Amino acid sequence: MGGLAPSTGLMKSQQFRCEREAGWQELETLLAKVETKGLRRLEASQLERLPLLYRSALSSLSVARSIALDRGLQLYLDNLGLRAFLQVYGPRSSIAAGLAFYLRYSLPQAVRSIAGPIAIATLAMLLGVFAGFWLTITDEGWFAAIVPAGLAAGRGARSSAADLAAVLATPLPATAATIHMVANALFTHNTVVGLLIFALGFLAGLPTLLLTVYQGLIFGAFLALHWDRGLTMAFMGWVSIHGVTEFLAILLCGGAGLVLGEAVVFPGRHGRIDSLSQRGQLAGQVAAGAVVLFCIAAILEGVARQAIQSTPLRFAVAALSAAAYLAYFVGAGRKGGR
Amino acid sequence: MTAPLSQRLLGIASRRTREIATPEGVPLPVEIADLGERLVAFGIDSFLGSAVGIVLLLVVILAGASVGLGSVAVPVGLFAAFVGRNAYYLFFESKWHGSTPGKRALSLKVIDRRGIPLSLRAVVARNLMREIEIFFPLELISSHPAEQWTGSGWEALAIVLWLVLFVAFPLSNRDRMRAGDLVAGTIVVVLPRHMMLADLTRRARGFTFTDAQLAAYGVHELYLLEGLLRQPEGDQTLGLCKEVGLRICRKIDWPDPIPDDRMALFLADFYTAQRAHLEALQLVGRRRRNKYDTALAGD
Repeated sequence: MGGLAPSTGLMKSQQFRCEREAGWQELETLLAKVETKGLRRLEASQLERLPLLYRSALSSLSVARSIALDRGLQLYLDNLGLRAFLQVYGPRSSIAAGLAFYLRYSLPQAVRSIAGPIAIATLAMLLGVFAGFWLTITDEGWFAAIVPAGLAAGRGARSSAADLAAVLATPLPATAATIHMVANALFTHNTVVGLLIFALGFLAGLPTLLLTVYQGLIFGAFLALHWDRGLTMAFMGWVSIHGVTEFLAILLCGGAGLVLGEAVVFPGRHGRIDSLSQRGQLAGQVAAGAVVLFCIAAILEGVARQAIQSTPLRFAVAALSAAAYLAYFVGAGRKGGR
Repeated sequence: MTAPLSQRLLGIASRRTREIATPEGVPLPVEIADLGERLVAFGIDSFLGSAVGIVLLLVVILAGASVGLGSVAVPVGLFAAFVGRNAYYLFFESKWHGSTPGKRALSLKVIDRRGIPLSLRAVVARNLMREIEIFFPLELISSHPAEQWTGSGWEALAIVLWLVLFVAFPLSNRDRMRAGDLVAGTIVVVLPRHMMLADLTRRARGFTFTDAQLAAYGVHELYLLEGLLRQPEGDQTLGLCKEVGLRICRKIDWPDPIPDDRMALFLADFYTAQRAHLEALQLVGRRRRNKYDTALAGD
């Protein structure tokens, strides 16, 4: 067999390396700069060279894989190619632009695209409300069983109408207590519950449904208690001023969790993991939007509800917020985006 | 040669690998980060992220100092920590292309499994899931100081179980994805910087080999020899060289014994000749994988 004797000249792989080495080194220098200081530090000419050098490094890599038996070179080119790939195909937009785009297009579009699961979550919650109401109206002993002690805050079967009315009319407390209420609303019940409803969706969506029903149960139990004491309208005003925002956020989390569950149970043409990741990003967008809503709800609950004592005014704020959300989620981002 | 030694010579890491597809059609191998490396990075990031939270908390306290915040410290602290760490992760993972200070310290990077650019939404999704995986149980514990703990032992057990399950979750799949990675479609890879190593081929200095002799080995053995020649000099390497050299001599029926001081030269010459031989074979489409690959041995 007429192999290339090394004494008669360069091997193909050596020749190849000699010709391409300068390009690889140039790419490596550029990458070192970009990786530590960012793309913006490159001059225009260097920025132009980067994708060219990247493609040439990838072609070098293919050639090296087929003709060169130099393992050191292959590992080096694998690494160089990957590093360049991550820079060339790195995320483009800045955080601020990304967030603006998210609020303007992605969030409303994502919410509309999972309208079905959100409707199912709504049904689940309504079911909970009816069940909670019915159970508590027939036997107020259920109230204590349904509502956790921290949330009930002393209210229960033994509360008189005057006790309940006093809670509904709590005036605006001092600043520190207000901050306390806002933070407490956010972190002891709402946001954590919402994120749980979302995240546990990946366990086939069952925890999501159960938790959504449970949120409804709690509300139904409270409603029954006030109904019995003849405080329905005052209670609804007291709840709805922040409740519109909060329940919407819970329903969004519920819809997002169901999307995760659907991806796991019915992965479709793709595998479970692929389907979960594709749907998961969408669901995550919705859940992130819900977190924003929870923050708004917490402020309404901690500040506005105490500052506004009149029931009609509370209803007005609730109606206004409902109209705003409706306009935003139905109307925003119809054109453009993607 | 024992398995660990051959692994060391080939420079094979103990990590798992997978290939991601580039738009150019050239697959690139990536190494998946170990759970241990990720926990260390998470430790560093949690520390720095909570530092951001503490700064936020100080701002809040200073703003509300006149009214006194003693009784509200826990929920406000939780809120500050939540905003702090999420701002931290969101900022770095999108600004540094999937890296954070903790990840950078360990050369880790978050990438999209499909090889497309890491999107902001993937970053948001994987960080929101982290809240539920780790911080939710931690907050359940921290918001109830031990003396006010109202839950039963079973609740405490459930919280611990929750933490253990989610922390160990990456071990359940081959790409070491935690629940957040699963939802966001991301993997965490190790991205060290490789140096370019010199080509080991050189002009023959006294040893020439026949085609029959070069037909004894395949690519795998060539790579092992390359690994050996790249080992740092030392007594151990010298001994190993001698051992390997004697084996090669026996295998290819090398007639004369080689003195110890010429052994390194012999191996270098043999490497060059062997590589030229195998590369020439490969150019005409015949890759000989290893010495047992008889299908393509010789004509």
